[in-house]
Amino acid sequence: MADNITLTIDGKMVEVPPGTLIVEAAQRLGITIPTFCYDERLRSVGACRMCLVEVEKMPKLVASCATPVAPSMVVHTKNDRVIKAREGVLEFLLINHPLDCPTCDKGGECPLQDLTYAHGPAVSRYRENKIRFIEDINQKFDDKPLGPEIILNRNRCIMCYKCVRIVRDLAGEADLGVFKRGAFTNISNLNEVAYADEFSGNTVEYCPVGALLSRSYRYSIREWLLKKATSVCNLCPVGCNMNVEWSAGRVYRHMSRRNREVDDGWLCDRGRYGFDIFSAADRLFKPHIRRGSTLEPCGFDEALIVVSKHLRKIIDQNLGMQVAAVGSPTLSNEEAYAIRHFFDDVIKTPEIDFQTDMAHPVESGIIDLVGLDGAIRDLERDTVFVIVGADPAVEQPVATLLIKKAVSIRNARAIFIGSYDKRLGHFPITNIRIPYGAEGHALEHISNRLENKAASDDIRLNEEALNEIEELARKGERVHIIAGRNFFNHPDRAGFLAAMLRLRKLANARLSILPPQSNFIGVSHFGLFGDVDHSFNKILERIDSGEIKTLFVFGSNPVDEFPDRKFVLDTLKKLEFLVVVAPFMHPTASLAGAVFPQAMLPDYGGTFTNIEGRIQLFEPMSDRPHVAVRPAWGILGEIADLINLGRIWYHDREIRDEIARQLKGMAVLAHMPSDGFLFPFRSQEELETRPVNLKTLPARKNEHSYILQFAQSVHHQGWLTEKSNNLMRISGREAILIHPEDAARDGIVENQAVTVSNSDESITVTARITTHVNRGEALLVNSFTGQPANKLMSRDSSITYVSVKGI
Amino acid sequence: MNIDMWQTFKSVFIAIPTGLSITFRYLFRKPVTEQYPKVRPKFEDRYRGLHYLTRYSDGSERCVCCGLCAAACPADCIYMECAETPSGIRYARIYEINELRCIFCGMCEEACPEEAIFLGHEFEFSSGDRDDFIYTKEMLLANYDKIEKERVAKRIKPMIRQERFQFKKPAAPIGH
Repeated sequence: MADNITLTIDGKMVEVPPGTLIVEAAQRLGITIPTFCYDERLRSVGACRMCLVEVEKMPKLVASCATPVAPSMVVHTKNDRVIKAREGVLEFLLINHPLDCPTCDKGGECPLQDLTYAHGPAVSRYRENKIRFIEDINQKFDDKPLGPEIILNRNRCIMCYKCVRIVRDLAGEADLGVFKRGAFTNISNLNEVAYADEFSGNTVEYCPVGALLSRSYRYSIREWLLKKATSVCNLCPVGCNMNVEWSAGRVYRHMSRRNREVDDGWLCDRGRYGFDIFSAADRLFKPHIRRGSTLEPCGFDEALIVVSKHLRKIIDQNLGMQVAAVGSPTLSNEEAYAIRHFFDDVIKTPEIDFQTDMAHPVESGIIDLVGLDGAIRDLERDTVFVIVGADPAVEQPVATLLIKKAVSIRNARAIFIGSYDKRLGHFPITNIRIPYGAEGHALEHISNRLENKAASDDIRLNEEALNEIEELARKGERVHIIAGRNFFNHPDRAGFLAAMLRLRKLANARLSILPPQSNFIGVSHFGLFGDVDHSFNKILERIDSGEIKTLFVFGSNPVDEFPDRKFVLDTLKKLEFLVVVAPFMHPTASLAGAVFPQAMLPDYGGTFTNIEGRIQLFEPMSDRPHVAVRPAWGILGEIADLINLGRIWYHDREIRDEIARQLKGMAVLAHMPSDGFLFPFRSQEELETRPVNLKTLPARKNEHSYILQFAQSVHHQGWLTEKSNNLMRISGREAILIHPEDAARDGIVENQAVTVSNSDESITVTARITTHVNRGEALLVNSFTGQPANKLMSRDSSITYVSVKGI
Repeated sequence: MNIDMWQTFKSVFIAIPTGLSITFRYLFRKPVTEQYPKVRPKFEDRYRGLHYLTRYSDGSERCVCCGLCAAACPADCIYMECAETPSGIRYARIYEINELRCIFCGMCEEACPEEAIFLGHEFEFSSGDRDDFIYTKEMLLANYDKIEKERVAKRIKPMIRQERFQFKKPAAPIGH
């Protein structure tokens, strides 16, 4: 490490490490140099010239965002020459700027406005005609849609290249480019392909002018009318920090709130544009109770009394065992605690489960292993990523940015092992294709090679590619094994896990099993899943046999999620009393005896725990008009109060104080720091190797059957995101991917409507023919509740066999 | 005693004649009282009365719903919501002024970058119902139409530019 460099900026001495840019050195002294194109997270281009400063002994002014410091440099940022240059730069930038601030969405939060006000000339000397990019034949419309969400107005662009750098360096896509030269330089999408990658919203947020705009925010409200609530995204387990910006009870947008430890100021499009789930038209705001055969809206107290009377009767007769509760891993820690507390201590029932989307719940031994090994920021230091049974670019997009960074800047290797191909932007990755369910076998192959044992001679494994991982591991690279969503519904989960643990030990690697839902780890702290005897599958069976008569459902939608939809529907109808807390009248809620409207994110406060175990606080909107939506703890507290058992909570802080008193190591919860705190949820010693006993690979049932797999897209994950008009506009349609050979055999052509059916149920989707899937396997992407995929799954096995026929 | 007499003298011979001199002076002047309901008062051009929203000569609204009038308003009496025409022009879907809250300071017309809102000379809009004072966009545009009709009838030169601003032909042809 070289010595620090000392330089003088505006007469003040500062010592910085070599390689620091002048603008960063000035920042340390508290001197702000105005910039447009500079962003410390992106590569410097020195495009806008706004940051010109004078350096003594240099003949011309230099761009401080592109000039590294040198020993005994003397920099002036405020002298007459620099001030005159800034004025000149702004005058040039404004020459072709249309100055249509009144109609521009950026007006009020625009760096160009602010810096012109602070440093610019009051008048322009330019009298000639401005250049105008006209986008339509009527010559009225200057805005050009780049994709379903992003709109470009090239007249306003000042050519800072931030959007191009975000797309190219950060997301690793090639959607935007720079065309033409000189005054006619302009940004456009390449080949007129719709621009909708998973980070497109960031270009809008970081555009220093109003050139890139969001369709969802366009012309809706002025920036200064918005109020901000600090919040945490709950659409994936990364837990990106964000500001929910709202006015008069309506959420207008999500903006990033930079937390260097977690998101570093980036948001994915799912988190950014999913804000309108909150204000969806069919959102429930009133409780409903069943009168006769219909659900009718009623007052909150009325619904509470109906439920409490029922519970009082059960408690008086000591029949607590007849009550069960299921929740969802998207609930906050406070809600999870309240549910645990209520059903354990008040109702006294062990039947609680939070995994309503899988028939084979993850056992408690595995739950302890779920989560990221180390911190999110450590991801960028790994050199080999073995990503097996996961697609982090879809499941945890913002954490994937660090994998992308490691791949693009540090030349790390990203190796995907799976039954269908994944991508990581345009960054170079290796896809090792294996048969469905063979993840454990592939890892075993590597482990055997590492131990110099005879490797398996399974011809279906691509040995050369797998041997490369072994070589990399032998070289002592920092290997990180990442498993994800496919791990949870893997047909041979125990074998897969044992194989991962063995490889982890042999390759001295880190092992992360990334959960698919937002607060999976937080909810697991309260022991709300992992109990195989009381899993949702078992609860359903007990309902079927009449042992359980009352069911509480919090935030989940088992009819749309749980395998074997028909069985769930039939079973839930047998219940004596079903209470559903739901944000929408979804199929589960419409079976209920009482429905309570569920509070969604900016309605209430609480904490979420993300993949690295960081507990982060989110706050409610401050003065929302009173509506009857309450979080689970609000509803349970009131019921407990009505039946004179347990206690009522008025604020999430009370629950946090209670948890802080009762749980070891949670004392910080009582006064949360603003950037959250890391709760060490697993220690490395717990990860012990288990004996590997792999099952045989699932094979096709017959020539015409397919093994069906399920994949989600960045913009659509299940029934909740389906309520967002923004996300539905961006996301692709549902499709089933089939290998060309299979398609040729079954006579299916591209874009044909096909029925996918098992023995008695079927759905209709569009077929796509691609070599990205294996022969004999089909991949259903973007499943919508209109064509529910859980119809086809079975409760007994994790493997779904279907046949596909053209219509 | 002396002082009291002097005070009496002063009021009788100096103060009263001084006051009466003012009375007599005004007695022979033209009276300032306005015979309002019978005679309509005449206003200066800058008088600030009821608002109106202007149009371009083609009949389209000038207001682009930028929100600057509402931001400048010290009484917080302007409410608006934006929308977009099919051709991409921004306009106010809802534009409402609560004339009861309004203090007629004229900040809105000063803030308006599009010369869309002005305060006119109309002042007779009292009502017994509070709801009548919420002036919607249509009412404010109707005010303008009335004023514009009078202006055309009286052949007064328009105060503001009538045509929508057109970009002139660009310096060079621009393709993609």
